[in-house]
Amino acid sequence: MTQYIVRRLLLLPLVLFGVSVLVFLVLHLVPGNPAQVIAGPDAPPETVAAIERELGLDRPLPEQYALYLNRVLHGDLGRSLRSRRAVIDDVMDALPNTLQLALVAAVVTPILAIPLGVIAAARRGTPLDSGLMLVSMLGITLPVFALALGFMWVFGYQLRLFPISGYGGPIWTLNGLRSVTLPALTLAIGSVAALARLTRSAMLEVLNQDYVRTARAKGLRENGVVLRHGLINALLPVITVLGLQVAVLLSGAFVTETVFAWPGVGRLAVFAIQSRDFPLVQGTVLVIAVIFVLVNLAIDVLYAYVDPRIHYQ
Amino acid sequence: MRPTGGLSLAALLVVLSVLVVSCAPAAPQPGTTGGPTPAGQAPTSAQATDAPQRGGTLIVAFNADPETLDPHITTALLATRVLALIHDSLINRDYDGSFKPGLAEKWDISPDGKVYTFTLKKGVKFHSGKDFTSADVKYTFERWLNTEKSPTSFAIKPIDKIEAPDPQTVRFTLKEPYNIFLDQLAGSFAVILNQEAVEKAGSDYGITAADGTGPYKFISWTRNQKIVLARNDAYAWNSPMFQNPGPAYVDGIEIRIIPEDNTRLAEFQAGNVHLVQDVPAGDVDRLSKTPGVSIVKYEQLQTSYLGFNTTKPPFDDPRVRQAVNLAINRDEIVAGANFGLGTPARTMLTPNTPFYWAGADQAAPTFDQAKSASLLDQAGWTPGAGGIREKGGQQLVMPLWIISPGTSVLQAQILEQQLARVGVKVDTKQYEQTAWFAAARSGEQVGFIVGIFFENPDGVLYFYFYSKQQPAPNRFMYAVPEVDKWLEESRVNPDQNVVRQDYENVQKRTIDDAVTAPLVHELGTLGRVDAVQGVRVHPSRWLYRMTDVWLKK
Repeated sequence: MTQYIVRRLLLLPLVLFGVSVLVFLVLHLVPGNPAQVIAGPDAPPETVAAIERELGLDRPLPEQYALYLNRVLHGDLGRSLRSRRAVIDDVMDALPNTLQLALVAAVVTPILAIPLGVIAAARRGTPLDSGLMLVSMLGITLPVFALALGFMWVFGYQLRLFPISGYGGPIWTLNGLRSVTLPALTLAIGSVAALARLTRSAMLEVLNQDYVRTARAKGLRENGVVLRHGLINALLPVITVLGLQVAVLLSGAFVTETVFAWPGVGRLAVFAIQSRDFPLVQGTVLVIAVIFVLVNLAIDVLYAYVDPRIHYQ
Repeated sequence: MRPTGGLSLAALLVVLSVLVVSCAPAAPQPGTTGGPTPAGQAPTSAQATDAPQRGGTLIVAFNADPETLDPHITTALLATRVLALIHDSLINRDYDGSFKPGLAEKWDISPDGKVYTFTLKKGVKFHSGKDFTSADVKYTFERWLNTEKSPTSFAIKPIDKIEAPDPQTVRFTLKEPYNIFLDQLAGSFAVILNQEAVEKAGSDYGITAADGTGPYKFISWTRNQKIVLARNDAYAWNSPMFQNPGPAYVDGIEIRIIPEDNTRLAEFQAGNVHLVQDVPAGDVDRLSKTPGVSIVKYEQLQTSYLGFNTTKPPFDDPRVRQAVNLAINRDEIVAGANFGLGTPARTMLTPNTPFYWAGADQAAPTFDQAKSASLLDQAGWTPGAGGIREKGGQQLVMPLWIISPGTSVLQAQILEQQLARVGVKVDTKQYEQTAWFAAARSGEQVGFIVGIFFENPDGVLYFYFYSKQQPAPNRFMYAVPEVDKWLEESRVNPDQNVVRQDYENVQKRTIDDAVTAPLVHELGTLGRVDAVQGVRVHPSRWLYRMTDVWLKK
């Protein structure tokens, strides 16, 4: 196991290298020159040229990349082209906010999804089951921004239960918890719906097994059958998907963060892309890639504990 | 700095968020609900009867982070709005466009137009407590000039040397006369910095530190969240152009950054923010009917226009450009695309711009389909298949590049229909804003829609029509030696009458050449909750130093 983890971690730099080359190329293919954006669209060509020189954008692409890589290897992600602030500071300011949001969403997701899936499976074919599945279908298909605006309108504006937008502080404070509620719910709804459906179908499969019939035959109460014999055995696919969802949640909730003015990595990345802030885009994407790889690794390791049949070589 | 250049990002932001901006109708009704506030109009009488109250924190919503508060490396409109709160300038541009004292109480210009001498106010202090002197002025402008990466320093390039003979006097000597020098000194980026503070902060200046002599002190900036400013209690040197001579009425200002339009408006409607800039045109009607809030509609120096690349056939033929101009019904565009928030534009300058040519109204084309059709006939374009005109087997098609999302999307849809009626097919292509500005300087553009902000005629005429401004902002590829000569003279000739004649000549010539088809002078919109009093929007500086604003308890 240790060997496996080490091997995966050794692959990380390779993944990051690939990601950085890809992002670098894409950024330079997209129309819109950062020097032009900084200078303003109406700036004279000399001004744009001076800014390009200063930023090194007038050099050949391979050279630009080599310079960038050299800096990154020395632990310097550069400065934002727009604010001139160190990229690492921008990212490190945003990262805790994204982590808090993702954490709440990741906790909420299974808490809501698994009971809903279990209830639907246990009451298979009843109006309750159909109702839950219909709602979950809505949850999957509703665009995030529409859901966000709906929540904002009902809970923020009409009922005034939660702030409409913004970051109210760390989630262990009351204001922080209140401010994270709506964005976290918005973020979680899609995962909850998907996971609830998955739980239901996994449960149905398990509940058809012979050992479940045996459990019923020996006179166990239905709740015991469903939970002890059904749920435990249905969990593996649920964990797989949950893991993927968590990785997605952590890697930046672009739309949710933007709509709720949540100062996280996703919003930072959106802003950086819009303003063609190359170093900032690179920095946020690298951080997102690291998180994604690590979370996936953690999930793989978790499998081995949940299902002893799984071994890594 | 001329806001046109500097504000282009602003313009983008505005266009981007479907914001609508503009200029007043023929007979504005100050103070009536729904009526635009003419530039420079004093607070409405209802507000004026109340004595201003002190206290409270004013919460303002912005749609983006202002990037940096270093005035010499930014072009961001939002940055200028914060800079104006923290700093003072040597002189200020009044609501009517004239210049009023700022940190300089008086100034003198030599007869040859090359030496500008300013006498500075005494007893002015920076927020850090340091006395403000002529050395800071000299330092600030030299820093600006010497910042190689400064996107705006071209505005003060004619400066030859700056002297500070005594603490209260500063003297600029120019290489040649520069008639818009005062405009530049009153510009958004020409704020006076504290040498000590700038040098101490180094490359973090404008990010973690900012020091000025203005009405509000910089307290903190949480990136992508909020900027906190507190009242400068020592402020006793406000410009006479404002009503409040002393410190600001509110205790402080908190700027909240909320990028999404709907979220920002929801916070505003809920009363959680006091002021929201640039309310999208489509939301103005609904919000105007919402109790507790109102929308201030104000004139600004702004024009949205359809521009032509004058070197691309068939639009290298002035008759074709004139025909397009004549085929446009601007009333329909104002009503349909701008939700009525603007006035039809027939000239690039708004009628209240200094040096506006009185004859422009006569000379500029009006809506006349018959005349448009006959001009196209004359140019050899005859009606062909599907109602589209043809010449030598070629169809008359105008590629039209627009920025999306933005008001120009709706404007283009209306133009397509209007031009189809005279046999011109419009081929609209939408670009994301940064991509648009990259494409529109390629030389491949034919027709395009964009909006501009300005403060003086130079900001439109020289900036957009001078031949050396190609490929951008002169995206028309317009190069007429006579026009160049007038424009050059308008900058260096000390005789105002000559300058006036030059500006009139350029206005007349560009109208005759139909380089553009102006569409709309858009009205600006500002959302305000009822508690906010003393709001007076400047035609080019928004709320400027915000010393007259107060919160009613």
